[in-house]
Amino acid sequence: MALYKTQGPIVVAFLSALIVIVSNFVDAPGLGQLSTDVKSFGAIIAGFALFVGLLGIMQSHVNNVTKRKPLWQYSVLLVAVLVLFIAVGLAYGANSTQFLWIYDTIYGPLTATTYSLLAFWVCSAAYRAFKPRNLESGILVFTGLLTFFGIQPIASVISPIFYNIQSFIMSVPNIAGSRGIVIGIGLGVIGFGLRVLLGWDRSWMGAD
Amino acid sequence: MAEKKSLIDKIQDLDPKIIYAILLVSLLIPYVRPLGLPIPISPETRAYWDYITHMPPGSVVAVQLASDPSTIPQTRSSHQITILRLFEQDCKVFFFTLRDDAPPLHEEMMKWVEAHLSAGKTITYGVNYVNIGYVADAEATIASLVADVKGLVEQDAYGNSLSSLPMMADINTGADFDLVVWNDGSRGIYMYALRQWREKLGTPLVIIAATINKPGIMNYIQSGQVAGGAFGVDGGAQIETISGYLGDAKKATEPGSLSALTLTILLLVSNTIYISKRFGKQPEIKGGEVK
Amino acid sequence: MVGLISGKISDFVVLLIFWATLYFSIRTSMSGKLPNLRRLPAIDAIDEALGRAAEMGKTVLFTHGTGTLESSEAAGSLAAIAALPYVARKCAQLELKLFLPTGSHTAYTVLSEVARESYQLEGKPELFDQNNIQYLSNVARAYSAGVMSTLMTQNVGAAVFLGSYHHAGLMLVETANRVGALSVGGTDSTSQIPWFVAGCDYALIGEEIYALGAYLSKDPVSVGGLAGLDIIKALILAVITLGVVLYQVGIDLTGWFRV
Repeated sequence: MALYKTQGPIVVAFLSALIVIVSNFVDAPGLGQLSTDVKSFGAIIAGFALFVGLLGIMQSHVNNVTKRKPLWQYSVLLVAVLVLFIAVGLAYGANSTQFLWIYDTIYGPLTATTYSLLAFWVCSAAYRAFKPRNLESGILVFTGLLTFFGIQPIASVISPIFYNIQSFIMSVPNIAGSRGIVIGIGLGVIGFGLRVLLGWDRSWMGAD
Repeated sequence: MAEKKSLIDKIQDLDPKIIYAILLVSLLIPYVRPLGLPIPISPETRAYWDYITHMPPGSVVAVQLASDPSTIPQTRSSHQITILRLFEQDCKVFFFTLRDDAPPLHEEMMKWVEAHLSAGKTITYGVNYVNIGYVADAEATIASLVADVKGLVEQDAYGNSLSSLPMMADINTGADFDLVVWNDGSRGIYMYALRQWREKLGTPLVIIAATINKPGIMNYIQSGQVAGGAFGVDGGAQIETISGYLGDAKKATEPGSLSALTLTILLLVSNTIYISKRFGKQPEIKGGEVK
Repeated sequence: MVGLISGKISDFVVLLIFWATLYFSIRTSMSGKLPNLRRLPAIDAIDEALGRAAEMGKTVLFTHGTGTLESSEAAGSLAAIAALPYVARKCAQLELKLFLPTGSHTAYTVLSEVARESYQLEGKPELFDQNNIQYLSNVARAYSAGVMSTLMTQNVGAAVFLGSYHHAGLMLVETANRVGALSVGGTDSTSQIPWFVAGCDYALIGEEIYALGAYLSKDPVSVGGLAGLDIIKALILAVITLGVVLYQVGIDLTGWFRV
């Protein structure tokens, strides 16, 4: 495979990251502007990712329709709505009454409905899984119930102690536990970043 | 012949459809008969509001919106009351969003804000506020914005050149802002603002977010990196209570409260049954397994 | 004038220490001295789930979450994808149908290559079906709806949810439970961890998904990186403990970290 395909992306990633990282710690003439330019490139490329995602969806679902893959009818619907949104947005503008009507009639309710399912899912998941099978799950059930209930205004009506208990759980054990997890995850990201910088991890390029 | 389940067993293995039906009833009751529940004010929401209300006139505030139609019911009240208050205090507001589906929500909330400004108060686009609309959802975008605002975007959301807008005359980098109000929705991207703005430049940061992100954000409120937060519908209701502005959040907390009470009762019942079954009878050994 | 920025010197030193530790740890692994990783119980859980799906004649679903490979959530997604060869090869051995829905266009290419290669390595390339790799949508809620649809319509008996998830985690976990699938889940999204712990039959918390990927792939870089991270965590723990003890006797070390 050509060198620019195997090594090129690694060199670009390395240089871009090096400029941004060094500019964070070192003050040098021109370095700040160079770093700003690199970040701008990153922002522009991120913007293109939306466009690439759009092309990918179109390609994938048009392929589903032409090859009559399972549930291809939904792909027809997806492509139709996608084209409608794009056409109306281009013809009338993204702030137009027509575009906002489609947004308010189709997109808004569908998104809200999917998210609203969470309320019911939370209940059935909690009812099924919140059982004290052992010490750890017992602690989970106990603190979960206290926090979940205590945060609601109705708990303060029953007794102010629920709110205080919830507040303590959120401020002390929750922060202690989540801080440990966040530190671990943060270190994992630093480790991953170093592997990408040095070209040791090339899975992001699609290679093994 | 299959053993008939006792009532206790049926309750313990309750069909999810029955749970959903009970939940639906508890969600609907407050709409029929409002409960008039008091709204306790949490320290983080109090801190959030205190920060907003102490912004001096002329302050420049960046307001980011990352809620979408699904999470905006949780954050709408906090967001629009915050904007309203900032305008009442003669602050200048710089709007942007990291979600491609948020701009219509912004326009909707601006209509509410304009309708609720106090008598005689007017706001002029380009002088009191600027909206650059959607920018790519990436940390690099925030890094770029903080480094050079006009370098990232040359035009606002309506096609005007940013440099032509009077408000933008003295705004060039993230350091020219006095506060960042970050509406995170449920996205979990508040770290962009924390790392690229707050930690790099020291610009104070307050967050509006869905309740699901509260435990994570509390870390940063406790450490002082985030000055305050308004979370979910409860946060919105608290903002409405302490600000005195009317909104939908207070009404919306009641279904949540009652359904939480319902779920708590259901969990207590099922766990009581589970514990009594688990510890109440002697284990039997059947087929090599302890039951 | 070139110089270190005041207030950032300690950050720079700490970063160099982290990098040096990781570098030497990874180099040691790459030279053949692979550190010993304890077997994670999650692997047994994956084996059990796949075995059960094979017995019941059901299918398998594997998702890497809602994170893309271009964002800051790439670490979680890539850790999940590192576990895919193991799952795909097991599916090939057991002749199980494997569904790979994704919300990332870049990940679609990676998933296709990894899955195809895994089936080829097991000598069963004919069992690999490109149609089972579905690029759904880059919008998280649409992606969730698509995965839920796959779970409900494709007779899924084992579901593996690894990676970065936002609100979607609970929906997917609960749907898997609803269809009777055995689920193994792990995420580095702090808001979803409780739901995975509560809802999945077996859950990995936070950075355990990085460990799983390293263990399954046996890749020296991943394994060495993991060992390096463990050393760094031990260092952090030592500094925190020292700082807390000294603070109690009136010595405040925080100034050292603000140079």
